[in-house]
Amino acid sequence: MNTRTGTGREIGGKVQAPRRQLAMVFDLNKCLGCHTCSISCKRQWTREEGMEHQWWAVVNTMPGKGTPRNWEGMGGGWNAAGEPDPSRIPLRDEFGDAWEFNKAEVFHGGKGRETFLQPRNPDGSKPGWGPNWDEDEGGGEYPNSHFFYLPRICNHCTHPACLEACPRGAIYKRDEDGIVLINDKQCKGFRFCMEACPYKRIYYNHVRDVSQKCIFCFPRIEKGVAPACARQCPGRLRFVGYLDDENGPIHKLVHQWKVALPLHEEYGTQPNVYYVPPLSPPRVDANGRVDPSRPRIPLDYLESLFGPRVAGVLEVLKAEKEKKARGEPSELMDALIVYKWPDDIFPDFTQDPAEL
Amino acid sequence: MLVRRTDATTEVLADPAARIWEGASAQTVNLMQAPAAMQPTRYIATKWRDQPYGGLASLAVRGLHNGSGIAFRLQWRDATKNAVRHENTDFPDAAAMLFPLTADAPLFMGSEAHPVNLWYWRADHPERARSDVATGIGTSRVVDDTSLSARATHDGEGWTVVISRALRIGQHAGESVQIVPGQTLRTTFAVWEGGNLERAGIKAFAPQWLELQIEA
Repeated sequence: MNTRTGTGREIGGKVQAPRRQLAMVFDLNKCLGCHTCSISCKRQWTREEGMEHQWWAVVNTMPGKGTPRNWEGMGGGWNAAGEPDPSRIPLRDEFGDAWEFNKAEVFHGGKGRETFLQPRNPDGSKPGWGPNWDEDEGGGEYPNSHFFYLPRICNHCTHPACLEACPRGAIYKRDEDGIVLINDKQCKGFRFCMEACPYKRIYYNHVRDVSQKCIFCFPRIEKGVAPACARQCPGRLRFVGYLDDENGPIHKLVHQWKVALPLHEEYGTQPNVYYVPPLSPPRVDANGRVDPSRPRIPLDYLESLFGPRVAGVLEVLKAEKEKKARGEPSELMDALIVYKWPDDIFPDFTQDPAEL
Repeated sequence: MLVRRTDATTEVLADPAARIWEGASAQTVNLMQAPAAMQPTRYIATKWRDQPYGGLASLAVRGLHNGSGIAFRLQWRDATKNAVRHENTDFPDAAAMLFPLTADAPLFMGSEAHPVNLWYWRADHPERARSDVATGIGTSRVVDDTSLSARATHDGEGWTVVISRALRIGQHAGESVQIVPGQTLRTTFAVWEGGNLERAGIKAFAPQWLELQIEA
């Protein structure tokens, strides 16, 4: 149905890849869970009416239920046979609704000593979930409690389930950079894309009756400016670039050093956001003895997210880290540290938007 | 079906409860589920393969005109009124009429060479119907949402919806069916049960044309 381009579609059993593909790599060892990415995206793109509840860039505490709640169990994407895996549309409260606060009462109503700020859903009900509801709960038991942060955006997949689900051809994948966009003049708010996306990163705008999602800040990209979430990231962990640029950090992290892994590759959509998995301190036994052979974040949990290569990647990271600690050079560690910002983290998108 | 000419005002014709409708000849239009094989994407076909949809068996249709305006009254059983879009899974009840813009337009949303004009009503904006043009499945686009008027009532057992328009319109003339007293034209219907998340091609539709004789 797509009248714009066949890119991203499966035609005759083959996925039509774009000429080039932009990608991001998130180094989870550097994410401090500050949500500056979420806020910078919100300020830039989702401030209009009907978008109040939309958070195109979220950060989830893991292990956790995520955004929307329990999205990992919802289905969508492609099964092993290459067939669409039916799913459902997440509810408003599963994403977390657009809360309102009783600010007038607390700040100006003279009740500052009697009550406190409380969130309410637009229909007056008490929220049951939010974009980061289970922040810092994590997993494990003391003294082996653990958590890490998982930033999530639209994965701008090579084989996007959303694109192929849309009966109107309203979703297209750009041939020049692989960014997946919803044409909201063509969209009629049928929300099949929200069902089909296994990462559940598509929102419904009930005012405009259209589906909306992360646009990889394409208007910034076109002017050489990095996406807002990446440029504003205080931890400087969001690498941006073309997958085929052999001199760029994305290609090196994904293909040369092979330390950046896709999230839930088994969903079959070939996501273009990659993660450097998190190292963790060693486990401590009941007597307080440290067991350096076992990481506090269970390996099988990380494998459930990032696949069977996690253990190998963590070994590489550990070895390179130790090299660096011994004063030996490590090109990989230097790349992950990002000595020179913004040149080392998104070399093709260093333009300062303030200077445009 | 005969679309009788009356001297009732356009305002009366637009009223679903107007007495004049009792005298209009009624046609029962049989509906069937829009087949899974006709769904435009694999996702939709797979998702709905084993789920019931398009279960509404029939629709009662009446039509009247007064020389300048024409109105169609559609009635169907639907005990669940779905008229809001608040929750992400809210899909309002809806109905549509399809008119070919050329003689050979196929029944299934037209084709590239043979466009069709759709009159689309949806319960979340009951007073306004939309005129769309389509040249095949998945291609419909809005022509305007001003040329058609609508009024609807739900009595707990079903919907009564009147969609009305001027017989001929000047704006977007090529993308809108033009109706002349004395002519015979064809139409067909679709109904969406919002409570069953029906939208797009997930609907009940009339698999054959209904001939309308517009009284001179």
